Amino acid sequence: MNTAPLSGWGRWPVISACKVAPKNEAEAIALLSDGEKLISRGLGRSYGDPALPSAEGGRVVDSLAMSRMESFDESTGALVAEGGVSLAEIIEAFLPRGWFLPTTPGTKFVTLGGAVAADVHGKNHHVDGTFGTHVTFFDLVVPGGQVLRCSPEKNSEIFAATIGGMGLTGHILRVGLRLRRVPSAWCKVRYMKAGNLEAMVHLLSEHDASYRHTVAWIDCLESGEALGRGILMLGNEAAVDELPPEHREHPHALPRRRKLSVPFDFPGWALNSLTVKAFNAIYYGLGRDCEKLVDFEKFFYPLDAISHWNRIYGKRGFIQYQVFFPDCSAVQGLRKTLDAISRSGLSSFLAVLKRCGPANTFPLSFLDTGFTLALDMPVVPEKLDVLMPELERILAEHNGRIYFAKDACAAPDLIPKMYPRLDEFRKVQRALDPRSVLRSHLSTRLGLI
Amino acid sequence: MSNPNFEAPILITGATSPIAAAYATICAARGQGILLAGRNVIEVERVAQDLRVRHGAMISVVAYDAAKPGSGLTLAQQALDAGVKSAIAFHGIMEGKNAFHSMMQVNCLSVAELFEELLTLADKENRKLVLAGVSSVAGDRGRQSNYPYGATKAALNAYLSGLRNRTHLSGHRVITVKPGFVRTRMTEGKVSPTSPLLAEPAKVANDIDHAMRGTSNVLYTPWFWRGIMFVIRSIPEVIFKRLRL
Repeated sequence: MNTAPLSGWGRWPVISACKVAPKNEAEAIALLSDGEKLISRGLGRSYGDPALPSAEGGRVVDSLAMSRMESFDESTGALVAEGGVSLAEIIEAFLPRGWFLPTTPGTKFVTLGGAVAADVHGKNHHVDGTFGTHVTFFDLVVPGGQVLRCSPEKNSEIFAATIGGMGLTGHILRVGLRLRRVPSAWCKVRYMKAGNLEAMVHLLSEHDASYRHTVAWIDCLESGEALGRGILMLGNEAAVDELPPEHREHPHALPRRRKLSVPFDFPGWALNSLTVKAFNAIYYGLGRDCEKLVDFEKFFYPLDAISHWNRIYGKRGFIQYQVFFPDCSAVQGLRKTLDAISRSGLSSFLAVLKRCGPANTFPLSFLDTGFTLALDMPVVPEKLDVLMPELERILAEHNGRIYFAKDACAAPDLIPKMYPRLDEFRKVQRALDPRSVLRSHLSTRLGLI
Repeated sequence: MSNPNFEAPILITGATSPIAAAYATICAARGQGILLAGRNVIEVERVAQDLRVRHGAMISVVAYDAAKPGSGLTLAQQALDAGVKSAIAFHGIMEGKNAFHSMMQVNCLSVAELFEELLTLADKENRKLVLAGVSSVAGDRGRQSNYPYGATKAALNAYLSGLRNRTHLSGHRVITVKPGFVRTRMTEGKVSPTSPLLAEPAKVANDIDHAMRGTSNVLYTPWFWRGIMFVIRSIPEVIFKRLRL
């Protein structure tokens, strides 16, 4: 079989992999029955190595050849679709009819299977929770080839372990998801500037209750007084009578836009602390406190408008670092994290901060009441080698944890402390997979199992 | 949808092939009714259900086994009863020379049987049809690597060309579609997945739709295959027979 170099969205690390794409249930069952190691992969939008094989030349099960929609109940919004269906396809089919995803990550180019496995979250986490809490059931092929229907009532332990379980419990065949009615495809968005981290944290906490969607852009190259300055975005879905007259007739239609693309790898030096600093200064400087109507596409998926945007970091690739701190230690933890990154000079083009709501019942789910910060950094090994251990120390001191879907370089030692219910997950995983078939580069690197 | 043919339902055979499924998506998205025909009815029904859920489209499924002589007669009747004014035969198989007879049946004879019957029935009701047969660039010249398949497609090309000639004055349209390498099971393992010649099924389906609604007689898709095949056809046989193609 042919192997080819494969990476996550951050394009680092690169592992050679053999991709197999089952086209129907029988082929998927056969793959999971032969005892060879494998890990499922959808659109490859996780940044690091969760969808890469545990060793060079290992297998990934491509879910994209199984991407059919199976049923939709117009009265309840209950959708059943195969694991390879993307969120983009769901929006394309159902937003014009007035339905939207219950929650969505910052890209719509993820599959249903991937969204379940990473238990993704979005700007409305403090109101609507994670993606997994809106899943009514899924069918899972487990090692040995058995197909298990899992729901909060049936195989409930496997259901819980699979949501956020990074593909380590089986291959997700189909997912039942409850879509949500929305009044229009527009958000009424309020923008507010905050001069430093304290001000930002305060604003986020203050406005959480009155807005369904909240997120803040942070300028993480600033230090000292202005550390953590940024622009807060607060959004509520707009009712039809709040739309400009030209959009009222078709409130769920998205405006047509030209798709941009990054056609080639930028040279490695294109994004450096100077260019990013200049960009951040202009972006922050131009920001004003104001209110605007923004369509869903632009509000939820600003980066999806530029295909291959991951090329701006050049061939070297980049890593994404997403950390969560509980309320009690959040300000200290965030301050130290931002300070360390600012000192490292690793230019983060995109840093977002969000206040999140209470945890759900899934053992490996990422968020809880507190704050989460996500940012990306170019892969500059000598700088990362210094920065990463420092970030981990800060994490340990402030009860923080990292997000598996973004991670590429954490060390295994701290994982049990970050995820205190890891053993609960391991128990379910080992019972399902006694021959250690389901393994990813991430699970091996972090010793998840 | 200015052309009245595309307001009426369309018959699509070989419905589980990626190109047919991509073409059915185009039809469903514009609200055109579809009669989906294929051998594996369970799989065809899954394709149909996907299109119904996504587009709210009106889709019926019928069983059709192109390997069985006579099955085209039933299908033609079902299609005319459903009110179709256009049909595309997407079905086809590619096997070695041991399967020459069955390939000829599926790739050429079944299409001829289906189209002849469709036209006979349509003429009785004075209905005008748009018919397209999906052939292949492999039919333009036999090459040692897959000439049995190429021969069945060459026969299909000659048949479609003759049919076009015969029905031109009576107001029917016949289109020959010649795709190059398309990312499907047929090319898996034969063409490198990163080859610039390998086209996506959706691109090919889009080209076919343009041809169906336009005026072309013979469509090469993607377009550059017209040039490639012109060169390949122009090579003198004395040279061609020595080439490893």
